[in-house]
Amino acid sequence: MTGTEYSKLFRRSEDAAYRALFDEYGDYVYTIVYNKLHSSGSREDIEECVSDVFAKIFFNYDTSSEHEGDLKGYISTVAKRTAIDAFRRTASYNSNVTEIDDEAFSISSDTDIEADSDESEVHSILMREISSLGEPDSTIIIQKYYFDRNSSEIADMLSMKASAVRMRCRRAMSRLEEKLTSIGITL
Amino acid sequence: MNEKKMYDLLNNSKESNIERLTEGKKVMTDAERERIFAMSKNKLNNMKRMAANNGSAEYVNSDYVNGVENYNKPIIMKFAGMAAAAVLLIGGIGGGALMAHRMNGNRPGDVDLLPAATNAATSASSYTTAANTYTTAVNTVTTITEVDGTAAGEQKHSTESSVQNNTSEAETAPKTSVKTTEAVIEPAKTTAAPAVSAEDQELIDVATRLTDDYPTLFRVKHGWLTYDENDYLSLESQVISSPVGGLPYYRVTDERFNTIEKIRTYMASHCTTDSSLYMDVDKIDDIDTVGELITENTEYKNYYRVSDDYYTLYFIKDGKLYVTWGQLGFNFEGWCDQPVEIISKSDNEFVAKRGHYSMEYVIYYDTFTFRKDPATGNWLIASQSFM
Repeated sequence: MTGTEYSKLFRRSEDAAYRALFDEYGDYVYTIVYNKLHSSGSREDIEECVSDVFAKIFFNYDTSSEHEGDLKGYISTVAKRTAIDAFRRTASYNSNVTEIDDEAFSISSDTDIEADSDESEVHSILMREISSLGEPDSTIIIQKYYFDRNSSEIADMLSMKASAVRMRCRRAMSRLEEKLTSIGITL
Repeated sequence: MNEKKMYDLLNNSKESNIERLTEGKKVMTDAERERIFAMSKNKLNNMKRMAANNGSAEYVNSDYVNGVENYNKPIIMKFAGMAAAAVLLIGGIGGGALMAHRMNGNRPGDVDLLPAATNAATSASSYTTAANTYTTAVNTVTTITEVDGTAAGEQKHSTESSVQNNTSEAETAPKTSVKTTEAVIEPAKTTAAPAVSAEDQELIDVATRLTDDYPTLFRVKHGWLTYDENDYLSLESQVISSPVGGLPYYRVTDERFNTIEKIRTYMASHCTTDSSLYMDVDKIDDIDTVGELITENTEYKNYYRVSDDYYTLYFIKDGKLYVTWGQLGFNFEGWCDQPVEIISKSDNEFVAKRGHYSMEYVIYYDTFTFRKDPATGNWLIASQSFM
């Protein structure tokens, strides 16, 4: 959605514009926020933060500007900043969480660059192979192992039965294992 | 695959990787979506209100509250609690005193617990019902012993019961009647299980045989058979109303059920055609209305839809039977040792009850209705209420 589209919609109906923006970018923002907060916050913290992001965007976006570009970049920035603030708040009562930094990145002297590089390569391959599983298997794997959802929640999202989700997940994992093994990766 | 490793890898993935993988996909549930949107609107309204009042809309927490809430606990609850505690205390003491009074010095350990001599056993097919009865009755009986003068101690007892604590002392005077007092453990009056008629026994045998096979029948119906996971077909399929893609079909290796003919025979010999367990293996569809939909482009058009539930389908390819299924497992821990019980019967139908174990020690009772096949005269499972 471009800024112009959002502004036009906003002038017709504010509620419709909010809804459209949320429907378009809600999952994207949730992913960003989840990525920052899942190690330190609860699911409620994450939901709270996502709602903060959209409240800020709804309130602050200047609908009089005719921005031709996609709003994704702007939304991404607001989401990351808000998530980092939320992370600092949640981390303050959880001392086991390590601090993250949005921009700064440094390599300490004892960092094993080679190992990191290998791991990064494994990540990339894993993502590619999960994606190649096709739908709905890739979504099931991501929802289960990344978003930590149970079968019932995934079943609701995909309009499937929980039992079918469990079965598909088991089979998808088998297929994934075969794919990874065939290229020499063992998990 | 190591699931923990999978969790670790995904959770340590680069943000950009995850964002790319989830792009265009739903990651929130519908409930979350609505909840979060409502929260956003609520916060937006607060921000607008704050901006109107203060000229600033720095983050406004919608949970912000002020004021004091008075909390008054009803005082009557305090006294009610005290009264309840007093009732329990007095009840406990009074109950204990009453029990001690009624026992009147008889301690439970004073009485021997002996098994009676009688075992009533009822044979029911491979099952045996044993009614072991125990008695604690100690009767004192008096018997007259005739002593023949020279044969002191040769006593004729009028009872065949075992004797303990014989306290008699025979006197040697001829033709003297001596009263001896014996403590006798009297055999208990046995209440054996009611005798089962031959007709009922026959029905019990039928019910036992058919219910013994029930778990297997259930597994066949749902496709939970042993299979070769290396021999499978990946059928192209499409979906009408659900985003379910193609499921692999595995080759059935269970030799009892590796052909449609064997499944047909097993079905016909165990359940009626209107039973929910029955599957019509002669019914061949080229399109399915539930679950999987085989596209017209696939070379496999005919398959056996055996269950409207889930995605259980049998499929024949090159004379080999393949199966796919949509629900995992049937956890059956076995029938309990209690015999089948006939609940009702008529000429062509009877209802029987049988218990099975759950969680190793809990017994659930299942009710089966059996009906006689008019063509063959064989009994078949017509319906079941399996707990």
